[in-house]
Amino acid sequence: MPSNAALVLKRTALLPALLLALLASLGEPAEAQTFVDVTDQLGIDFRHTAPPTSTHRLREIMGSGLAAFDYDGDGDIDLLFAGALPRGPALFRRTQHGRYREVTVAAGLAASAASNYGMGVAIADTDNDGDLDVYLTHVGADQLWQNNGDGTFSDITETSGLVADGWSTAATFCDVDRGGLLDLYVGSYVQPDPNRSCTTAGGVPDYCPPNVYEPASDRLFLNRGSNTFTDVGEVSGIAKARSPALGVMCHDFDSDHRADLFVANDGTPNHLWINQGDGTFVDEGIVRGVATNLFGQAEAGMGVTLGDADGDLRLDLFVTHVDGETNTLYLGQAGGVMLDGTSRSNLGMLSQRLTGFGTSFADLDLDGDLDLVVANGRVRRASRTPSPGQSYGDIYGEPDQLLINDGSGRFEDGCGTSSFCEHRRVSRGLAVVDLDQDGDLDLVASHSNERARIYENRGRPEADRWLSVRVLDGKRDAIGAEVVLDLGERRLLRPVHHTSGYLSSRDATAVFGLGKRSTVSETESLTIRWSDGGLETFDVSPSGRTIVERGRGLAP
Amino acid sequence: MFADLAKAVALGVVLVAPHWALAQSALEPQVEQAIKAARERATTEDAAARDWGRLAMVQQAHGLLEAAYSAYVEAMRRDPSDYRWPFLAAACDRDSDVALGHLRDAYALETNDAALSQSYADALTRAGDLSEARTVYQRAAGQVATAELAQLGLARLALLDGKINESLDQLRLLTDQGSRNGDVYRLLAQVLRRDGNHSDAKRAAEMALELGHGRQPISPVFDAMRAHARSPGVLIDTGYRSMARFELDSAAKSFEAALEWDRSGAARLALGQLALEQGDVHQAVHHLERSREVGPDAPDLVAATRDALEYSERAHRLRRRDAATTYLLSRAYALNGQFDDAVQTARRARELALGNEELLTAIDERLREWERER
Repeated sequence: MPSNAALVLKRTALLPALLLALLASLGEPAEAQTFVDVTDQLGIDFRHTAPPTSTHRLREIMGSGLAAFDYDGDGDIDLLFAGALPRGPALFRRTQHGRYREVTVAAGLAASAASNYGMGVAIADTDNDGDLDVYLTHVGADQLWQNNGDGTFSDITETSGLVADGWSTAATFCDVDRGGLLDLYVGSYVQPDPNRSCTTAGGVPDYCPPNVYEPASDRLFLNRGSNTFTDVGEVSGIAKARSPALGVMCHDFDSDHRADLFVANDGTPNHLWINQGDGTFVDEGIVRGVATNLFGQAEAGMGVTLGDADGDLRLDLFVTHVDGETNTLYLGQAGGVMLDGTSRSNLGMLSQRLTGFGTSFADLDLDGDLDLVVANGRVRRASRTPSPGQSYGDIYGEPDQLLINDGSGRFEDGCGTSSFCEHRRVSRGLAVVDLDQDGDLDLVASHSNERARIYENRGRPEADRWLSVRVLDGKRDAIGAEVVLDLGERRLLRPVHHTSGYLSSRDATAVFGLGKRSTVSETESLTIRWSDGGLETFDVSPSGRTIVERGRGLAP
Repeated sequence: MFADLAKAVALGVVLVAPHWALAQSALEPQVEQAIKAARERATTEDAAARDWGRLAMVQQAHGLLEAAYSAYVEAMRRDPSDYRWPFLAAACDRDSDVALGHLRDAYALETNDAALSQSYADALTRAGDLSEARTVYQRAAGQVATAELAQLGLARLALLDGKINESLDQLRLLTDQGSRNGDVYRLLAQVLRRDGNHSDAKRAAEMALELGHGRQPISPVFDAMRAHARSPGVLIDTGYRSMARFELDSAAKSFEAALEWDRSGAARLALGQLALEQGDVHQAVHHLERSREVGPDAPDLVAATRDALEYSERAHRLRRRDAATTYLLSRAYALNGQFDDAVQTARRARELALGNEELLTAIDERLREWERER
């Protein structure tokens, strides 16, 4: 099969010379990346089922997230989907043949389906024993599932001290008190009110915007060891704010070696909780430029992803929003401030008609820079005249997006013939991981009222090179670390974290595309900035897979 | 199909019925009627651009943006010299570059519409055409209605260009002129922080929170479009916009028109809020009591009832021996769910109202109701 780049060339060759000259004057078109829907072949059968009821309860349109991670330590990426009632969550294990088999019951997770309406999945090694534990957020009480290390989980919510009921959304683990254990931040949305109803401007019943509900307070739990947690939301200052949170990202945003928290709020200003180092946090979203967009507007923050979009070795934040607004790219600047750089990135023009939820920075074409994936789907009716026969997809569905970085931080539509963008779906959860372990990154997306889908990346020319690095601090992934690969002519930065876009999580391995480099040295330099500020540099072979352990170098 | 169904049932999965949304897809009858009338006029043989524009505005006012866009295209074809049609068409949910093209066309026809200048310059900024945005902002900065927002726009552009001092100068100019626009202070906080002035940045951020957003330029074109609304949601929205501009009579008209069709209590809440804005606490309590269908814990209603109680208490402090004022206070207590206070105060009002049979009857009726609620 010819590569997509070849197809693009073949088509353009048929165009008149004048048009070619015009295209050349506009700059090279983004090289499309080919993703093929392999859901059926892989045996994934999961559907987040939440059809609109007559009262249009808000939770129905919010969808749910997923996690792509190796739960059983066999080196493969398994998949866990949060799901609405009555289905509940579903865990799929990747077998040695590359297909997936549902193991929800065998893994002990089925019990969680009893009473809670699934929203998000956060993963982390909460007890530093080398396997990944699972936190499920719900409309209702959340749950912490301890990985027993034998392919099963135990519900330890009651003994953990994690009391988070109400409507939890995004959650993330990171070490905020530098105690060596991962603490937990849980975003809360609004107080559900089944009696509220809204209509479109034409009087057609529809979902209400979040601002008609009472917002809720987020929670912060410190990990005290032995999988027990203490709620410090009030004393930390975080619970004093009440905002509808949907996206969370934990990282050291001000380079003081303490983990801070960015929270994307739906329709109210975002928070950037700066860790003061004394157990308290101060919201510096306004002064650091991330509370609103450049125009001072609080947008409908949904998904969040962190990465170096413009290659300046500073981390940037990308936040997805509702149609009518743009998705927003906050570019990291010196001194721990950010600047809304959406206009120069072209991401505003690409997003204004769509409602973005799941999103991820990822080097889809392995050329070294970070591209973007956005899972879209409306939360209010499309602005066309309602008529009988319209399907759910007609009303709320939108195409998903692959946005290719030209290397300077400017993005173009890179969907080409990818089936990922072909259909109008109500997409929500998203994770970008190397499912088939061929070096390039594949996509997993969850949709409302449709099967979750898996897309295999088939756009990588054979000559491309890549390096994937798993960074460990002790037995667990070094959450909060930053990895810089020095290739001589350029340096590439990747953060280490599990958080993925909207209500989702992923394997924390950092993937570097090395492009079609003509000269490749024997070794390259890899520098890790650990979350506490420590620095270590290693020589690595510039291709394939590597594991780096703190203080020990490359794992054998 | 049946195998899938059986499997789904076994898994406890509820299959999505393909027609579940159909019963909920109808427009309000009065909206249908308004659109039908406008369409009939637009499709007559002698229809002019304004007839197509009117149809488009009726559709746009009810959120039917795709249909409205098509009608605007027809209006533009028939009269390319009327800037209203491309201006309104730009707001019809089109691709950003299409919308930008329409704004460019509208601006070429009319440079004195403050809202249009602002929209166009902001859209250019969003599209990354900073040079053209600067030109439009600079022109708008010379006009009274748009000067502040245009200067703010220029400060943004300077920040995007990395010209911190220039941005700071623009913003200082605005604050020195006594700007009460929170967006000015929000941007100032960012710029000061980047400039290393952390304490002033913090103060500016606090000002931004205190002041809220600045007022956008009034757009007679959009107001005219919204006036075609026949649905309560749009009318209420229009009324709130009028309230924000302190055009309270106009707001009252919109809310009262909405009340004709409103079944949710939202128009009552809006009228209650308007009455509070006007300082008429009697009217406020009257409307708020009838707006409970919005949802007793709806944030706007909670805030309004809290304000109503505060105003009633103030009024009562001035006229403690007035039966009507005391009774009003009791109703405000009840609105806030303070039924013990409501009953106690109503009993006091009853004592003061002796001889006023009409008032006594009303108080007794409420007392029975609140006794049940206690």
